[in-house]
Amino acid sequence: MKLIREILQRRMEIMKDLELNHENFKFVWHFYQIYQISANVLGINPHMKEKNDLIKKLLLSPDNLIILGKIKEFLVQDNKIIEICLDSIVEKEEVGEIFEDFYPISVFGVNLDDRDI
Amino acid sequence: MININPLFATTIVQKLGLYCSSYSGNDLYYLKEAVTLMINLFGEENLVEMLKKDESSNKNIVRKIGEDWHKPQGMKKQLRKISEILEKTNKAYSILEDKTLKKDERAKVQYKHFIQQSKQFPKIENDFYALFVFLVQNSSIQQMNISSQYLKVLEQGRTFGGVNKERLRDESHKL
Repeated sequence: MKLIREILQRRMEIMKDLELNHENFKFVWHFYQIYQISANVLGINPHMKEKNDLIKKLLLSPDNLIILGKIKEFLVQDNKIIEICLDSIVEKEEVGEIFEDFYPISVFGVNLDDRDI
Repeated sequence: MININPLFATTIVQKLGLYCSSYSGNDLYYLKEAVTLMINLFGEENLVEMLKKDESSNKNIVRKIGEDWHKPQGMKKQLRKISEILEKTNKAYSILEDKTLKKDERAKVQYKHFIQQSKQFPKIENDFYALFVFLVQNSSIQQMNISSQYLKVLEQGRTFGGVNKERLRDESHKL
Protein backbone atom coordinates (compact mmCIF):
# COMPACT_ATOMS: atom_id res chain seq x y z
CA MET A 1 0.00 0.00 0.00
CA LYS A 2 3.06 2.21 0.20
CA LEU A 3 2.76 2.93 -3.53
CA ILE A 4 -0.89 3.96 -3.29
CA ARG A 5 -0.06 6.27 -0.37
CA GLU A 6 2.75 7.85 -2.35
CA ILE A 7 0.51 8.38 -5.40
CA LEU A 8 -2.13 10.03 -3.22
CA GLN A 9 0.40 12.26 -1.48
CA ARG A 10 2.16 13.33 -4.69
CA ARG A 11 -1.12 14.22 -6.34
CA MET A 12 -2.20 16.13 -3.25
CA GLU A 13 0.97 18.22 -3.39
CA ILE A 14 0.25 19.20 -6.99
CA MET A 15 -3.42 19.73 -6.19
CA LYS A 16 -2.55 22.30 -3.53
CA ASP A 17 -0.30 24.09 -6.00
CA LEU A 18 -3.11 24.21 -8.55
CA GLU A 19 -5.54 25.55 -5.98
CA LEU A 20 -3.15 28.36 -5.09
CA ASN A 21 -2.74 29.20 -8.79
CA HIS A 22 -6.55 29.33 -9.23
CA GLU A 23 -6.46 26.64 -11.90
CA ASN A 24 -9.91 25.54 -10.84
CA PHE A 25 -10.66 22.72 -13.25
CA LYS A 26 -7.28 21.07 -12.81
CA PHE A 27 -7.55 21.40 -9.02
CA VAL A 28 -10.99 19.77 -8.92
CA TRP A 29 -9.94 17.12 -11.46
CA HIS A 30 -6.93 16.22 -9.29
CA PHE A 31 -9.02 16.13 -6.15
CA TYR A 32 -11.53 13.69 -7.60
CA GLN A 33 -8.79 11.44 -8.95
CA ILE A 34 -7.44 11.18 -5.41
CA TYR A 35 -10.94 10.74 -4.03
CA GLN A 36 -11.87 7.88 -6.35
CA ILE A 37 -8.70 5.94 -5.54
CA SER A 38 -9.28 6.54 -1.80
CA ALA A 39 -12.91 5.39 -2.01
CA ASN A 40 -11.82 2.18 -3.71
CA VAL A 41 -9.12 1.51 -1.13
CA LEU A 42 -11.77 1.84 1.61
CA GLY A 43 -14.46 -0.01 -0.37
CA ILE A 44 -16.87 2.94 -0.49
CA ASN A 45 -19.12 3.80 -3.42
CA PRO A 46 -17.88 7.26 -4.55
CA HIS A 47 -21.27 8.42 -6.00
CA MET A 48 -19.72 10.40 -8.84
CA LYS A 49 -22.71 11.06 -11.10
CA GLU A 50 -23.67 14.52 -9.82
CA LYS A 51 -20.05 15.49 -9.27
CA ASN A 52 -19.10 14.41 -12.79
CA ASP A 53 -21.77 16.72 -14.21
CA LEU A 54 -20.35 19.63 -12.24
CA ILE A 55 -16.79 18.77 -13.26
CA LYS A 56 -17.90 18.78 -16.90
CA LYS A 57 -19.48 22.21 -16.44
CA LEU A 58 -16.33 23.50 -14.78
CA LEU A 59 -14.27 22.27 -17.71
CA LEU A 60 -16.45 24.36 -20.03
CA SER A 61 -16.06 27.46 -17.85
CA PRO A 62 -13.12 27.08 -15.44
CA ASP A 63 -13.58 30.56 -13.93
CA ASN A 64 -17.26 30.10 -13.00
CA LEU A 65 -17.28 30.62 -9.24
CA ILE A 66 -20.88 29.42 -8.83
CA ILE A 67 -20.04 25.96 -10.18
CA LEU A 68 -16.82 25.94 -8.16
CA GLY A 69 -18.83 26.82 -5.04
CA LYS A 70 -21.20 23.89 -5.65
CA ILE A 71 -18.28 21.51 -6.10
CA LYS A 72 -16.61 22.82 -2.95
CA GLU A 73 -19.69 21.80 -0.95
CA PHE A 74 -18.94 18.20 -1.94
CA LEU A 75 -15.20 18.70 -1.46
CA VAL A 76 -15.53 19.27 2.28
CA GLN A 77 -17.26 15.90 2.81
CA ASP A 78 -15.16 14.00 0.31
CA ASN A 79 -11.94 15.29 1.81
CA LYS A 80 -12.75 13.26 4.93
CA ILE A 81 -12.73 10.06 2.85
CA ILE A 82 -9.22 10.89 1.63
CA GLU A 83 -8.06 11.57 5.20
CA ILE A 84 -9.55 8.28 6.46
CA CYS A 85 -7.94 6.41 3.57
CA LEU A 86 -4.48 7.87 4.23
CA ASP A 87 -4.83 7.14 7.97
CA SER A 88 -5.83 3.54 7.30
CA ILE A 89 -2.87 3.01 4.94
CA VAL A 90 -0.44 4.51 7.48
CA GLU A 91 -1.97 2.30 10.19
CA LYS A 92 -1.46 -0.83 8.06
CA GLU A 93 2.12 0.21 7.31
CA GLU A 94 2.83 0.68 11.01
CA VAL A 95 1.53 -2.84 11.73
CA GLY A 96 3.83 -4.08 8.95
CA GLU A 97 6.80 -2.27 10.50
CA ILE A 98 6.12 -3.86 13.89
CA PHE A 99 6.08 -7.24 12.12
CA GLU A 100 9.42 -6.45 10.44
CA ASP A 101 10.91 -5.36 13.79
CA PHE A 102 9.70 -8.54 15.47
CA TYR A 103 11.34 -10.78 12.90
CA PRO A 104 15.02 -9.89 12.33
CA ILE A 105 16.22 -8.85 8.87
CA SER A 106 18.05 -12.17 8.42
CA VAL A 107 14.69 -13.99 8.33
CA PHE A 108 13.70 -12.07 5.20
CA GLY A 109 17.22 -12.08 3.81
CA VAL A 110 16.91 -8.46 2.75
CA ASN A 111 16.57 -5.16 4.53
CA LEU A 112 13.19 -3.98 3.30
CA ASP A 113 14.15 -0.34 3.87
CA ASP A 114 17.13 -0.47 1.53
CA ARG A 115 15.48 -1.73 -1.60
CA ASP A 116 15.56 1.60 -3.42
CA ILE A 117 19.23 2.32 -2.75
CA MET B 1 0.09 -11.96 -4.67
CA ILE B 2 1.68 -11.66 -8.12
CA ASN B 3 5.41 -11.12 -8.15
CA ILE B 4 6.25 -8.66 -10.91
CA ASN B 5 9.61 -8.80 -12.67
CA PRO B 6 11.76 -5.80 -11.52
CA LEU B 7 12.12 -4.54 -15.09
CA PHE B 8 8.36 -4.37 -15.62
CA ALA B 9 7.85 -3.08 -12.08
CA THR B 10 10.15 -0.12 -12.84
CA THR B 11 8.23 0.59 -16.06
CA ILE B 12 4.91 0.54 -14.20
CA VAL B 13 6.20 2.81 -11.44
CA GLN B 14 7.61 5.18 -14.09
CA LYS B 15 4.17 5.41 -15.70
CA LEU B 16 2.57 5.99 -12.31
CA GLY B 17 5.08 8.78 -11.70
CA LEU B 18 3.92 10.41 -14.90
CA TYR B 19 0.34 9.83 -13.80
CA CYS B 20 1.10 11.72 -10.58
CA SER B 21 2.53 14.71 -12.37
CA SER B 22 0.28 15.34 -15.34
CA TYR B 23 -3.19 16.78 -15.84
CA SER B 24 -6.48 16.81 -17.65
CA GLY B 25 -6.68 13.39 -19.18
CA ASN B 26 -2.94 13.00 -19.75
CA ASP B 27 -2.77 11.59 -16.24
CA LEU B 28 -5.38 8.94 -17.01
CA TYR B 29 -3.54 8.12 -20.20
CA TYR B 30 -0.51 7.03 -18.17
CA LEU B 31 -2.66 5.28 -15.56
CA LYS B 32 -4.36 3.32 -18.32
CA GLU B 33 -0.96 2.29 -19.72
CA ALA B 34 0.13 1.06 -16.27
CA VAL B 35 -3.15 -0.85 -15.81
CA THR B 36 -2.85 -2.48 -19.26
CA LEU B 37 0.69 -3.59 -18.55
CA MET B 38 -0.33 -5.04 -15.19
CA ILE B 39 -3.27 -6.92 -16.75
CA ASN B 40 -0.86 -8.53 -19.22
CA LEU B 41 1.55 -9.47 -16.43
CA PHE B 42 -1.24 -10.98 -14.30
CA GLY B 43 -2.61 -12.83 -17.34
CA GLU B 44 -6.16 -11.94 -18.30
CA GLU B 45 -7.86 -15.21 -17.35
CA ASN B 46 -5.88 -15.48 -14.13
CA LEU B 47 -6.86 -11.89 -13.27
CA VAL B 48 -10.57 -12.60 -13.89
CA GLU B 49 -10.40 -15.56 -11.51
CA MET B 50 -8.61 -13.46 -8.89
CA LEU B 51 -11.20 -10.69 -9.22
CA LYS B 52 -14.04 -13.17 -8.69
CA LYS B 53 -12.45 -14.48 -5.49
CA ASP B 54 -11.45 -11.11 -3.99
CA GLU B 55 -11.79 -10.76 -0.22
CA SER B 56 -10.75 -7.12 0.22
CA SER B 57 -12.91 -4.34 1.66
CA ASN B 58 -13.88 -3.45 -1.92
CA LYS B 59 -14.98 -7.01 -2.77
CA ASN B 60 -18.52 -6.10 -3.88
CA ILE B 61 -17.27 -3.90 -6.72
CA VAL B 62 -14.21 -6.02 -7.54
CA ARG B 63 -16.10 -9.34 -7.75
CA LYS B 64 -18.67 -7.75 -10.03
CA ILE B 65 -15.88 -6.53 -12.33
CA GLY B 66 -14.62 -10.13 -12.52
CA GLU B 67 -18.05 -11.64 -13.14
CA ASP B 68 -18.92 -9.10 -15.86
CA TRP B 69 -15.46 -9.04 -17.47
CA HIS B 70 -16.45 -10.67 -20.77
CA LYS B 71 -20.01 -9.25 -20.92
CA PRO B 72 -20.88 -6.57 -23.52
CA GLN B 73 -20.77 -3.82 -20.86
CA GLY B 74 -17.94 -5.48 -18.95
CA MET B 75 -14.50 -4.18 -18.09
CA LYS B 76 -12.82 -5.64 -21.17
CA LYS B 77 -15.00 -3.52 -23.46
CA GLN B 78 -14.78 -0.54 -21.08
CA LEU B 79 -10.99 -0.59 -21.20
CA ARG B 80 -11.09 -0.46 -24.99
CA LYS B 81 -13.50 2.48 -24.83
CA ILE B 82 -11.34 4.27 -22.25
CA SER B 83 -8.31 3.84 -24.54
CA GLU B 84 -10.17 5.48 -27.41
CA ILE B 85 -11.30 8.42 -25.27
CA LEU B 86 -7.83 8.97 -23.82
CA GLU B 87 -6.08 8.74 -27.19
CA LYS B 88 -8.36 11.48 -28.53
CA THR B 89 -8.13 13.78 -25.48
CA ASN B 90 -4.39 13.29 -25.23
CA LYS B 91 -3.93 14.46 -28.83
CA ALA B 92 -6.34 17.38 -28.34
CA TYR B 93 -4.60 18.49 -25.13
CA SER B 94 -1.13 18.29 -26.69
CA ILE B 95 -1.96 20.87 -29.36
CA LEU B 96 -3.49 23.35 -26.88
CA GLU B 97 -1.34 26.45 -26.67
CA ASP B 98 -2.77 27.71 -23.38
CA LYS B 99 -2.54 24.78 -20.97
CA THR B 100 -4.32 26.65 -18.20
CA LEU B 101 -7.58 25.75 -19.99
CA LYS B 102 -8.71 29.38 -20.00
CA LYS B 103 -10.50 30.27 -23.20
CA ASP B 104 -7.83 31.53 -25.52
CA GLU B 105 -9.07 33.57 -28.47
CA ARG B 106 -5.98 32.85 -30.52
CA ALA B 107 -6.40 29.12 -30.14
CA LYS B 108 -10.17 28.93 -30.18
CA VAL B 109 -10.32 25.96 -32.56
CA GLN B 110 -7.82 23.98 -30.50
CA TYR B 111 -9.70 24.73 -27.29
CA LYS B 112 -13.03 23.72 -28.85
CA HIS B 113 -11.50 20.46 -30.08
CA PHE B 114 -10.16 19.67 -26.60
CA ILE B 115 -13.50 20.42 -24.92
CA GLN B 116 -15.36 18.19 -27.39
CA GLN B 117 -13.08 15.26 -26.60
CA SER B 118 -12.96 15.90 -22.85
CA LYS B 119 -16.73 15.79 -22.49
CA GLN B 120 -16.34 12.04 -22.54
CA PHE B 121 -14.28 11.94 -19.33
CA PRO B 122 -17.28 11.10 -17.11
CA LYS B 123 -17.67 7.89 -19.12
CA ILE B 124 -14.53 6.67 -17.36
CA GLU B 125 -16.29 5.10 -14.45
CA ASN B 126 -15.31 4.17 -10.95
CA ASP B 127 -14.70 0.51 -11.91
CA PHE B 128 -11.50 1.58 -13.65
CA TYR B 129 -10.06 2.94 -10.39
CA ALA B 130 -11.30 -0.13 -8.51
CA LEU B 131 -9.38 -2.32 -10.96
CA PHE B 132 -6.25 -0.19 -10.55
CA VAL B 133 -6.36 -0.42 -6.73
CA PHE B 134 -6.94 -4.20 -6.96
CA LEU B 135 -3.96 -4.68 -9.30
CA VAL B 136 -1.62 -2.72 -7.02
CA GLN B 137 -2.87 -4.39 -3.83
CA ASN B 138 -2.30 -7.84 -5.32
CA SER B 139 1.16 -7.35 -6.78
CA SER B 140 4.69 -6.89 -5.51
CA ILE B 141 4.81 -3.25 -6.71
CA GLN B 142 2.67 -2.15 -3.77
CA GLN B 143 5.83 -1.75 -1.67
CA MET B 144 7.77 0.28 -4.26
CA ASN B 145 8.56 3.99 -4.18
CA ILE B 146 8.19 6.43 -7.05
CA SER B 147 11.62 7.81 -7.78
CA SER B 148 11.70 11.61 -8.07
CA GLN B 149 13.21 11.36 -11.56
CA TYR B 150 9.86 10.03 -12.82
CA LEU B 151 7.93 12.93 -11.36
CA LYS B 152 7.86 15.46 -14.16
CA VAL B 153 5.23 17.73 -15.48
CA LEU B 154 5.32 17.67 -19.23
CA GLU B 155 4.48 21.31 -19.63
CA GLN B 156 6.46 24.47 -19.99
CA GLY B 157 6.91 26.64 -16.96
CA ARG B 158 6.33 23.90 -14.41
CA THR B 159 9.16 21.86 -13.03
CA PHE B 160 7.95 19.89 -10.02
CA GLY B 161 11.39 18.38 -9.59
CA GLY B 162 11.45 17.56 -13.28
CA VAL B 163 13.36 18.66 -16.33
CA ASN B 164 12.75 22.10 -17.78
CA LYS B 165 11.97 21.12 -21.37
CA GLU B 166 12.35 24.65 -22.67
CA ARG B 167 15.88 24.89 -21.34
CA LEU B 168 16.84 21.60 -22.95
CA ARG B 169 15.47 22.77 -26.28
CA ASP B 170 17.53 25.99 -26.06
CA GLU B 171 20.64 24.02 -25.39
CA SER B 172 20.02 21.71 -28.32
CA HIS B 173 20.00 24.78 -30.62
CA LYS B 174 23.53 25.60 -29.51
CA LEU B 175 24.65 22.14 -30.54
